[in-house]
Amino acid sequence: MSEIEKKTPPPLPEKLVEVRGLHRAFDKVHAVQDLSFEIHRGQVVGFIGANGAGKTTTMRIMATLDSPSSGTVYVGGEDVMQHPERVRRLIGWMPDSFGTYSYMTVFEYLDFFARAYGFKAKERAERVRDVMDFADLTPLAERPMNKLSKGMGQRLCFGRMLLPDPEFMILDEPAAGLDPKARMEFKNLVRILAQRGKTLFISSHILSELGEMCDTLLFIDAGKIVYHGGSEQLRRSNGNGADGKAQIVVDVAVTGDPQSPALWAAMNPGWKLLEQKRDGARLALAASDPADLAAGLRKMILDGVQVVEFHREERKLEDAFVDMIKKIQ
Amino acid sequence: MASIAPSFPIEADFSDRLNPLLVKELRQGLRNRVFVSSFLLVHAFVAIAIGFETLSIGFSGEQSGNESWMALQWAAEVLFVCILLPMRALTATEDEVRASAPDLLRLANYDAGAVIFGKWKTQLLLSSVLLVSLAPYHFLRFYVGGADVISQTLALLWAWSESAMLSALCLCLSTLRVWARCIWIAVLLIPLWITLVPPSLLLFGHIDGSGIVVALIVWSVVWFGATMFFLTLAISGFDTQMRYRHLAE
Repeated sequence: MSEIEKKTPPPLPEKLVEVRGLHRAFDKVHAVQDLSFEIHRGQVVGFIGANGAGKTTTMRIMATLDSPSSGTVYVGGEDVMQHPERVRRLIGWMPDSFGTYSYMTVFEYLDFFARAYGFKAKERAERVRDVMDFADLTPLAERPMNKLSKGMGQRLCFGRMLLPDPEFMILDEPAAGLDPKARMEFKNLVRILAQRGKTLFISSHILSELGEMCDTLLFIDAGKIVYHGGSEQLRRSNGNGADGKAQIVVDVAVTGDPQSPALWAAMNPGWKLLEQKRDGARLALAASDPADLAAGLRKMILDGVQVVEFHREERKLEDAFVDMIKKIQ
Repeated sequence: MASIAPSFPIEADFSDRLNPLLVKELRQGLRNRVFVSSFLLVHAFVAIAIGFETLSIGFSGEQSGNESWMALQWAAEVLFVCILLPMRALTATEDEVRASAPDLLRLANYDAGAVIFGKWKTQLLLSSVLLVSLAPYHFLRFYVGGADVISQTLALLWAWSESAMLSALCLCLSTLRVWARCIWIAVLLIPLWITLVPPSLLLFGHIDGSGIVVALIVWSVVWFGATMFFLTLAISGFDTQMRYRHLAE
């Protein structure tokens, strides 16, 4: 069958995706090992891992493009191995690489896939038009594909994914190589789709952006899930799942002995010298209770240390991720 | 987002009844620089040949002795249909891979067979477009020079069928790695061209007599067998690329 039959879809289960004991081996390399997780309808899930961690393999299996060595994946209640054609009606796939057809315009590319997905005549025209408007491709409609910039190409790829109006979208490194403006536009598109109740599964190396876009983060390392939860929870964790400490960083000026901030830090428990400068220093205090941070700062001022600037330091997702990997190793 | 009235002809397009792959291939094929420039060159060449032929008949008053012009015209047509057009298919599946399309085609429930047949049918259509567009010149020659239209039409069909078979072979070769493709071009495609094209050049205006029926039957069997064999190999090769290409990246 070359065109997807369009029927009234059955109601989708609340657990839109269920991955159970997923394992994928290529000869002696175990790309994915005993992976299990669930994605609920309407969630935006960030999928994070280093190169070779097994992200793309997992995503390809979920998208019916690869077969697991063992384990099961259900999308919308359908087994991806048993009924790939049913699963394909639910999913949109945006690969990490985007190539171009020669002698084909943006409109023709979308029109081809709209035809392939079974849209006819006016319905097809409307669908292509809607997608081009949504992804801001209308001004590029007649531009040859090979004359598109990286950002434009990603938008086209994104638009193609949206053509069948999928419930579940799998995006493999969608923001890779995009400039800041294009990244911002992409984030906005994701936000709109999330508001419309779509379920998105996005892999990326840019953890801070995923933290902003996603409800849930899934960290994968060496083919295994090492974290599944919210970004705030991860930021606050100290790497082993327990709530960690907040930290304030204080820049101080030195008028007399340059070693005085270091001495002061040594005499006051909890404080540590981060950096010694020619005309000042940078100190830090970490504490579980914010009141302890306020007390520590007050004591510093009362002791006559010349505070120039202070700020509470948020732990970056990247740091949290690195800490977690170190703990595991 | 605000809807902007598009300037492109969104509905005045290819019919919905056509296979989407065929539509895509035709859009690309009819815009391909090699196809368009060769198409125009063949037409220009044939028009000039017919012009000279008409002039020479006008001056000499004789209809014989124009074989050289006819042979030149026929050579241009055969070279285009049997060599240039099949060569277009040598990079056909590579173009899909370069466009990262195999995964996307699978998700649209297209298998390798649909893709390869779509490409092959496009090749047939493009060669048909050329041959049909050249038909008026042949009729002109019939009126001006009294040429045998039936014999010429049979020769055109013969060239068309050769083009279809060679296109299937080129599609098959396009699924191979570049070095393997070069080897097979040297050991199979070029010898086939040498074997098939020169006799085709001699056929023009000489297909007649009782032997033609036997020749056509033999050729049809060989043609069908070879074409299906090449297409099957092409499908198998492209299926492997569709399934396992990502492992090589």
